[in-house]
Amino acid sequence: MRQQTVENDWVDRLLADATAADLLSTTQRILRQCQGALCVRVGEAIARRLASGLADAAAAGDAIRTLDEHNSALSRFVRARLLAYRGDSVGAIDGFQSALQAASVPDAEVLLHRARLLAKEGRFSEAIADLRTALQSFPPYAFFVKSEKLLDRVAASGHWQPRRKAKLAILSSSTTSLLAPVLRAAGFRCGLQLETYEGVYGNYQQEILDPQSGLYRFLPDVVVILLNSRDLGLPPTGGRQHAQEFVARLRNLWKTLLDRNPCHLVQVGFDVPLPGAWGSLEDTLPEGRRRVIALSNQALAADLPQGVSFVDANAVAAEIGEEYWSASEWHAAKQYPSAAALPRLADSLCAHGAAALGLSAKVLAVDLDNTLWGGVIGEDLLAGIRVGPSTPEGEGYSELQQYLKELQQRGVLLAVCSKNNLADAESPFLRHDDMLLKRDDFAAFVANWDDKPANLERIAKDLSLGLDSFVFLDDNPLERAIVRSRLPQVAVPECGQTPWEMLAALRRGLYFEAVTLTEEDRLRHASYRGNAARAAAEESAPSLESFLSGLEMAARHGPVDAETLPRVAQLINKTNQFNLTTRRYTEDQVRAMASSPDWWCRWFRLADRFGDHGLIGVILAEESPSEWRIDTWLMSCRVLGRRMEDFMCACLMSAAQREGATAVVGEYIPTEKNAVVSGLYPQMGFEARPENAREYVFSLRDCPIRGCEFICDESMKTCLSTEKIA
Amino acid sequence: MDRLCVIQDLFRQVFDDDGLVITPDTSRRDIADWDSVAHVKLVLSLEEEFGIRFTEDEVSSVQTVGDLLASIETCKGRGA
Repeated sequence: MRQQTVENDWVDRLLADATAADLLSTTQRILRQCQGALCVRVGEAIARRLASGLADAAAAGDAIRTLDEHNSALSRFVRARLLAYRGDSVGAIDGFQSALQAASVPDAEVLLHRARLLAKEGRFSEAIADLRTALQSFPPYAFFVKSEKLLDRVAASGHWQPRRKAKLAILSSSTTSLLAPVLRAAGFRCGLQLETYEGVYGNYQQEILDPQSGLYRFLPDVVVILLNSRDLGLPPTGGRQHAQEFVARLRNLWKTLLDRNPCHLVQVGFDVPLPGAWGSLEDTLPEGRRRVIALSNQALAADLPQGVSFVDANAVAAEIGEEYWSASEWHAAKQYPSAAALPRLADSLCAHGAAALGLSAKVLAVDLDNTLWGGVIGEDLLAGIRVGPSTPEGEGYSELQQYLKELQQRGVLLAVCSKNNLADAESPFLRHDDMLLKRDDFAAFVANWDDKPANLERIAKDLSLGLDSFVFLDDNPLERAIVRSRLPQVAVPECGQTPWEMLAALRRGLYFEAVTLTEEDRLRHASYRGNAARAAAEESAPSLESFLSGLEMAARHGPVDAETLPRVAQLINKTNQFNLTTRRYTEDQVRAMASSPDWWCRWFRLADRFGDHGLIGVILAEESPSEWRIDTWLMSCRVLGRRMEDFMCACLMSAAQREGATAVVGEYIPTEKNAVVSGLYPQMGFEARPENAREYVFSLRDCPIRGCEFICDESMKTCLSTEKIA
Repeated sequence: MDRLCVIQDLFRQVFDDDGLVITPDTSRRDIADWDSVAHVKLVLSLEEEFGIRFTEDEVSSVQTVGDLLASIETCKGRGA
């Protein structure tokens, strides 16, 4: 920033000294000096000077011609700004576009200028796309100040289709008025429309303890508690017991809040400040201040209750550096952390909220050449590509591969999307000794010469996942731009050219943040890979029936209990396709139903000879003496087309019959995504209710219960064998 | 110097008003949205734009655009 300011001063002086006669030659001189590189500050200064210094239309025409002659990213930007000053919005919009093309890397400030003009022209969808792209490059805090009102305006324009709307409340011991708009912007970047509520300043405890508080009236889906280490009021040493009591009180507050308003709670941990007057003794004494703060964080993060997640302030601070804390902002405005740290903190908070709502990304699609290794496999051949410890660049690619591998182990699906011959693309995975990632680590592998948006659509279809759960990593800015424009729902980070920049962009984006880790997350990759193998089996198998019976499917099911609750709630909140009613429930709500005698809450698991799919289905049915009503019926899309629905239905019918019910009532609430089950009830033998178009009824007296011949009931087997032993 | 123009561009963006025209006499009373929170945001943005740091007094005593210009001048003068 310092350097830029110096540069700016030099430009300012030249422009200030220029007379009307030599303004254009001065402009040319600056453009040459900057070598056309897109420095927005310099461009703004030139455009301002030109706008105020040009006497008439003829002079403006001369200026435009001069800029056209230079024809660089910078001159194009100046030209567009000049047109905007002169009121030519449409010309300026095109001008910014050509400046962006010349610059190759999208600049947030340029995009913001264009978005503003697009909104002015009523072209909201394009404005939204520009703002999202700008946010993908993780601009500094100043960008959020300049874009706040525009963002709020376009988000409310009715032209934005967020993936989800949610209410987020911020409770804090410090000022929250700068954080709230940055949080809304972070939500905008990941497709989450956030309505924010700021608790009364410093009143985080009162907001939670008073049942009449604004917090509870707001009915939040997500609550953030932002405290800092000053709240602990620790002496240099000896504050341990005090801190323990503070943490215990805080954990009690969590419980009160979650009891009164089931939601997701994000607790921000305490920052460990620079050592105070006691220096390193604060780290080494048994009750030294910094040590006690670190212990308090551990006590907060350990054994988190369901529905609570933890954001480590020190992880955020480590990324921001010393700017994380600003004494002047703290003393002047009780601003914590510094404004400069807010975008990064907001992204963490938003990522936790998104994860709790089931909106974390699920797939990372990557390019190969110059993304997973250095060089081009088709030209440099196996011996020529750089990966592994023999070059610094290769070591960087290994580190990136390691990161991807660890993502995959956590349940993120990896996919290859590359312009290459398939055999070339596969060869490093099969034959290069230094490749950490293997061919089998990828749930989908597409290498051909089609365009990338088409290939990404193909991958999404193969994996039965929506493109809005995709992140796309590519070193080529052109490919990134094409994917952004054709598939705006895909997250495309601005990721630089080196492997370490790409790794930093992936980490910074927090796309795959998770608040819990379930067994299914760990098994997911094997399951989806199984899907690919199954697809191959499907091609060779003579009939659907023989295919299905060849799968050797085995299902298990049981009542929802503490162990299965997190996964059941996760499915309830993220399943869109095979979901008859799309009712979302929090873990607490599901727990309440599962423990009620009036509800039949059942989980279903499916395994086949290719792998275990884990817990993939849920039915919640409300019992009454005469009829059972299916409140929720859903199934993970990875097991579509296996007749698992027949199996689930039969289980439900048998249970209802055993309990003496005479009928089962089902309901189908159509959404944009669940057309796949629009005909499910008739298919299962239900009859439409004439009085309610959404309801279907199955009479247990008249109709026989159909099972599923392809799926063996492992739960029954276990029961039978136990009986035999007994 | 074009500092007034710089401030005007910033005000137009922050207050999302393309047609906003300011003079040194424009005061906090003239712009409804120029409340204390917006003031903090403006100050932070100007600090970055000009590579300066305002003192506490400078921040809190600003009532008009002219005050802002004067404070920026002082900051530039002391080279911080």
